[in-house]
Amino acid sequence: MVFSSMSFILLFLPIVLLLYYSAGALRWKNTVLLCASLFFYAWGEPVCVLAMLLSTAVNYFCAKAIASSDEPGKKKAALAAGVGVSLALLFYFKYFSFALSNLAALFSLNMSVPQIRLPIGISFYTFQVLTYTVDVYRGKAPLQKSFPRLLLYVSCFPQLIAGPIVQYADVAAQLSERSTALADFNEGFERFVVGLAKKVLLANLCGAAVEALPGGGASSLAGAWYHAFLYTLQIYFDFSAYSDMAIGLGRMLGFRYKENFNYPYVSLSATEFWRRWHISLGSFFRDYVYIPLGGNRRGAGRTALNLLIVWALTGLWHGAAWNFVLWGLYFGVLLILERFVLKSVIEKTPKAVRWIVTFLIAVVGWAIFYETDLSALGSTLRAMFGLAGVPLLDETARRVIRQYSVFPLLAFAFSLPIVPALTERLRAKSERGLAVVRAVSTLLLFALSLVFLVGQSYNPFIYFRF
Amino acid sequence: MNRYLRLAENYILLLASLTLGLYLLLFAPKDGGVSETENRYLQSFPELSASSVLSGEYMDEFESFLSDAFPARERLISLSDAIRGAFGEADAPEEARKLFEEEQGLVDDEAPEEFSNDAALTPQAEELPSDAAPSASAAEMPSAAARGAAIWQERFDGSREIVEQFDAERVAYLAGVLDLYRAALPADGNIFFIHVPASDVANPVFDMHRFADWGDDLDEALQPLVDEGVRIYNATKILEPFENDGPMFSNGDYHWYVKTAWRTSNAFLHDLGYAPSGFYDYKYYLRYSLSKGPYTPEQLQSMTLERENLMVPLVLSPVKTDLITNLTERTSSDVYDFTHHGYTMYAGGAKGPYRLFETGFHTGRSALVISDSYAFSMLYYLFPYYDEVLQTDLRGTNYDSGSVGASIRQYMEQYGVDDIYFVTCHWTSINGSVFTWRLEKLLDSAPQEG
Repeated sequence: MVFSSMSFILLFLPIVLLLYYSAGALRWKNTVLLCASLFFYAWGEPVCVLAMLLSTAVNYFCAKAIASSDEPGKKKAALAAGVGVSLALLFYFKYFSFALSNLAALFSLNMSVPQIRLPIGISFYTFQVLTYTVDVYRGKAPLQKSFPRLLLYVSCFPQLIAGPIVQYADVAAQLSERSTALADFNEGFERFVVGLAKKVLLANLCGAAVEALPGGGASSLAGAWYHAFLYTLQIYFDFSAYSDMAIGLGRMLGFRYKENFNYPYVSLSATEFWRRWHISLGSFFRDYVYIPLGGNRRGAGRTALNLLIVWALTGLWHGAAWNFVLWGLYFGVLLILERFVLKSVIEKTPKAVRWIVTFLIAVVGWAIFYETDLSALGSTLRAMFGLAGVPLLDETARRVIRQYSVFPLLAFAFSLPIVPALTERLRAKSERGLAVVRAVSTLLLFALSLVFLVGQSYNPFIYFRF
Repeated sequence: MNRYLRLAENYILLLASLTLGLYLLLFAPKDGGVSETENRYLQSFPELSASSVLSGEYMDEFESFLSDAFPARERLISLSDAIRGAFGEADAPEEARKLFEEEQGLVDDEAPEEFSNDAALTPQAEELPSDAAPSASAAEMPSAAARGAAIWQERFDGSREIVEQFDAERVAYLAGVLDLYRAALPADGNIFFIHVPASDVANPVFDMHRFADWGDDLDEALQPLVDEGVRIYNATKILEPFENDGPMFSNGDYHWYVKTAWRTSNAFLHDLGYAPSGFYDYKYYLRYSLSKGPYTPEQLQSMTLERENLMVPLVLSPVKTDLITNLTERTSSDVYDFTHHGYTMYAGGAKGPYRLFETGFHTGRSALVISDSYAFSMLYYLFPYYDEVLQTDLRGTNYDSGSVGASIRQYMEQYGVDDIYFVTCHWTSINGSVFTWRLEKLLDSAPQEG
């Protein structure tokens, strides 16, 4: 099910909230939430729910084995089993066809490559359940004795499909003890509405403009850049909208999820960009891959290698295609350069220049991310950098720029922290005024989102496919 | 106090949502109906079955039902369109068409005023510039028998929205021009004429379901007026049987997909007495993944329709291509333009003034294709039936006035043309300010330099 759908907004959410708040004891609240979450997942993927159940069950028993054993060897074996099964499921569903087709191409094998349906959200819930088993092994998190509670952690509908990646240690306590204050409900609902509006009013309209420039806009230099710029906005509003809605829904249900975005497009370096973009993924790779590899404690060379490994994996996590790996390595190399080569240059560079360069780095990055076909990606990049022999501006690009300019400009403005600044200003003047503005804007955004949803066709979130 | 104000509002919004949701679930009409604004059938309440649930079809249809049954839906759509329009993002077909015409060189400063899109045609030879009125005088044209024609989209209530109207006089004029070309061919020669309603007409019918049907009766108006050997085709009739066989026209530009071009070419070839070619008699590249092709028919058939629509047919035998200037000067060219991923990849895009394809087949016949870009993807399907295919595009800059060096008739004689195909989209054809006008003018004269 999609948050920005009629069935979710008009039926699922109000019914779940009604049942949840009628349930009384937390035990019953959790039961309502678990049933709702499984229904939520099965609504879109009725069969694939089994893969999630299997992954959770295996890790439940492996963590139990880890906690009940005193022998390091057995603990390690149980850890390996839990991690192995989860990653094997992820590999099978997400990377098996990709690996086979690459092997076939590499060795000129004549084989048919099976097309395997990717269960929605598998990359997210696999990582979540891994944090549970690994943290139990590390002694950082307590064993969860109740399977339904562990399943609730993995499947909890606000964050099930597209994150944020919630580490078990962060919510372990909330699974067995949590409350919802009035303020939490209000903040949560308003955050959900803001996310809904970002998705329906900004991301989808930027997406329509992206679609209007076929082939990555590579038929002209301006088209290629404008396409990449629009996609830069679309993916930010699409993904951060989902995170807003997830965090808001979680808060309405008593969960506190960490922030996943912090205005990434104000960053002054690629390193800062990744501290502000998809924060939960960065934290996962830092805690569960980079640090176990040795982090930055084994010299510059090893640090650089660790960074490259982490970024290649980060890219691959996003999808089974070489452009994602390329995209990950692109940022890996940039981060290495910033850390070891360009540090002093960056510090001396004026902030405005750093901001522009970082934004352009992000735009080029999203151009790489967008195009899964390498030959088409080559055409797009050649067009962007004037190497394709295409005109500066063609009719298609001119038409799209003329037709789609106001909403993208608005979207760009909202990608900068203008709203928080205005909110603080208003708060300083009048708390009551701020409350009225928030109430009115929530009402307007909710109504406007519904109006736009009525006429829009199904438009799932970009990050669903990861 | 502020907290309670916000809480009350949030509760009211959630309660209102639930009320609306329950109303839709329990009381909204379940039979779908028709949207007058969008001209399409609305989703009825889906039937529950194990297979529809497991395939996800039930959920998709349920979602569509909630959206389609939403109270005051059409007003809300108008409102969202108005908001988008206020921000400059509404669809602008007129502007798109204008840009298309500019881009395609459809604005010809030379053309007499009566050949403009807006003016009715008065085919009086004396009104044309002296160099533009060869043998086709108004007296020779069967205007008395002519009747008008139109392309239309049909609404769900059976009424029609006229897309393009063709005056009787203009129909008669075109008939006269086509007869001139027929007369220039050998006795067993054939003229094939088709104009295809472009994607802006087709997609609202087949892709968006905003209209129930489409139609075009130019063939009925034109066929009785032309000589034997001139065959007028109707794209709407040719494509009608395939309306449920996937998208036929691009959403990204104004062209048709290669499979649609293949279907149309089969209609021509059928009338020449040939068995229709199989779409998968050809291997295909995909425009966006040339490095991975060619794909076998089995691989292609397992791919999605979206992929199918990006296909580039591979020629069945080695084809030699030359650009022809000044009647006989040849410059080697390409059968495909692999530097592009768009429609211009087919046949290398609009290059000219003439291109000669030596097909590698030996049938003893040659063809001339006078077209806009719509024919580019179709050319490949004609190759097996001709020794040589000569192609030209008479529009603006495409027909380079400095290097043509001869009339169309001279080119036809030089390359032994037996059959002529006129293949354009409807924007370029009978009402276009360039195409029909130039057909007559350039048959016996070369364009003037500069």
